[in-house]
Amino acid sequence: MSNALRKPRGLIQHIAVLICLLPFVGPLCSAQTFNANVELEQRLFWQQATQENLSKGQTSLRLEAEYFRDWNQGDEQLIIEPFVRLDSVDDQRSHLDLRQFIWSKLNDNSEFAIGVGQVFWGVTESQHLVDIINQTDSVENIDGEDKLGQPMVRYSYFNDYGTFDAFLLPYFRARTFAGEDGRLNGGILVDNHNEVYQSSSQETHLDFALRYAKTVGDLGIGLSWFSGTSREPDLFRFFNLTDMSTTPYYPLIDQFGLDLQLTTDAWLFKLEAIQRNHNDSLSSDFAAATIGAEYSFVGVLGSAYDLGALAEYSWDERRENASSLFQNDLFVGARLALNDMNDSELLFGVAQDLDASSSRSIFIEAGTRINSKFSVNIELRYFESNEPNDLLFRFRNDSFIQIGLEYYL
Amino acid sequence: MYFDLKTYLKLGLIMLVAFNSFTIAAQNSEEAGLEIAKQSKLRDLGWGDSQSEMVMTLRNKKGQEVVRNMRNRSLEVDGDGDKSLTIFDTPADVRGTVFLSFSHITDSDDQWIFLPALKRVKRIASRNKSGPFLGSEFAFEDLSSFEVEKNTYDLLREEKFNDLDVFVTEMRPVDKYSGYTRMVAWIDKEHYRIHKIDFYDRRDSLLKTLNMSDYKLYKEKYWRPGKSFMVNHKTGKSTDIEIINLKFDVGLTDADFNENRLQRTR
Repeated sequence: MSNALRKPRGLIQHIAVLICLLPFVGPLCSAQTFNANVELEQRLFWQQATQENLSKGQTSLRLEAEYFRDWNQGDEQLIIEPFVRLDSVDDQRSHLDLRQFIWSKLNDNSEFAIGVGQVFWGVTESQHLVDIINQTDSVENIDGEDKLGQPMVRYSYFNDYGTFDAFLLPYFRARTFAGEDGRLNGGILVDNHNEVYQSSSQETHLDFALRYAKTVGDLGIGLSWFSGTSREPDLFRFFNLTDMSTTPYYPLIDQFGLDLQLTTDAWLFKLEAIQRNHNDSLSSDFAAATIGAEYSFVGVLGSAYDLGALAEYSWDERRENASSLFQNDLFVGARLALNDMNDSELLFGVAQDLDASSSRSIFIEAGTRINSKFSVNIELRYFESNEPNDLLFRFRNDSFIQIGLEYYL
Repeated sequence: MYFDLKTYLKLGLIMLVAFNSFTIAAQNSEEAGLEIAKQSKLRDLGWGDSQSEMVMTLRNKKGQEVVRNMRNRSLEVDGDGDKSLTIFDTPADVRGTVFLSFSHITDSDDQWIFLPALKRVKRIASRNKSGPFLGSEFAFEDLSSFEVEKNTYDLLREEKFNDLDVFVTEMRPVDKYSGYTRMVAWIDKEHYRIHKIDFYDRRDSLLKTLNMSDYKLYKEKYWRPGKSFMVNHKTGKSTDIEIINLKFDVGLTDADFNENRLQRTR
């Protein structure tokens, strides 16, 4: 056995290993792991904030841990994944979450899971229209990639016809927004403690979701339906112009989703489309879609580098009334993997609003490993807009650069 | 004496192998090369499923090292390439990443990756076959399952290699996305095990050399190398792969290689 794999064992572990060798007990023996990582981040906003007295610096600490245990040769699993963010300026950004606390059991053709879980649906990169099970953790970052844990009961069935998932979602997680001391609050103070729901049962309304997914050769297909409280709040219904504050309103929706990806040798073609219906006279039904293509270059200019180039177009039927930044927008991005010993990677993207020529956002994300315990991550987000009607206008002075040092326990 | 069907089949196979060894000299060098490839594949049929641990050590010119620990699960597929699943344990920042690959005989491979930070399964383009596997000196195509139809063959010569009688065979990849014009392999005559491969890049100059050693016999039929050592002659970088705890017949099925279930894979 190689020294790299050999871990020092204490007496208790030795005894545990011996017990597992006994007949009848062995199959019930479980594996367990514990992992944690912590990241210290520093943000620098180089422009003066739109509101007065907002800090140009923001220091924060992120802590994530995962406990994993399984039984019966992995057929039963338990995952506990707590999350902590501590922020130096914005008390709304300091938060605790259970990303996962879920037990699952695998049978021959099915899986049953109960607890707090994380589920991702979709194929596109610039926005995630179809993905709806988990609430976005929008104080973490504004890219919509971080999600809050969602209480759920999930049943999955898989056979040659594909994978079928059914969800019961008994509790709603409201989206949290940057507070009055935080940059990136968009100049609107959202009340994070009072929400208004269309459903009289408020956050305890029982939501349902179904999904079917199948790979047919080069084509991946996903069909989904969600019925329940919208993950996306309406911030304008109770907007108070005098103090620029609002109470978020969460309507009940039915959302149908379709995601497709065609994978060829070098090209990926992607589509995500949704139809969202309300039964509330003040909210209008709408369709939205993102369509895109990605091309992979291998061994760029004789190097070991891989380059993926990506273009995505997003459309929203509501156009300028859309609650999303992507109502008629073109996103162009690239991912460069250096394929070096430290897995260095660079992501770059530009989103251009096609309705407002001055509105665009740019991001660069870069990461590399320093040694087996530390990595460094750099992120730059730049926002530009001269159109007061554009959502991005609210962030025009909030461009920032962030440096993070990550440590793995 | 009583023989069951399996024994008859085994006898038939042995006779076929013996017969073919006799005829190799009589053919032209291309037919002989193809026959050697078919023999290697034939001797490897029926292995079923396996799992192993893998220690991959990346070394640069200055001698700096990075160790990647991963676990591998493989499933033989009748009439097609193998299915394989790789789970990354170290370095810590890639821990929990799962790579799933369905290799095909002539079509490009199907590949998915599970990214634990995003809880997201992505299908990726298989164009990367000539690209490096995780910064190592192994390309994706070097780790994909061996299929006769992937190359054309030519038996160059027969010689001694580490005291073994070997065939020295040239293989030319059929796929236009391959990073090689040709490979030259040293294959022993007794067990058809590959001991060394020289890889020639698209300009037909020597790019890499792979040495495979510490072969062990499994299920009384299948030889697997314990160590693989790849050196890149252009960059001076090298990669070691050590296979540990290789086990066959561990009960893996198609369901363990389902792209929609990667989030559960540990």
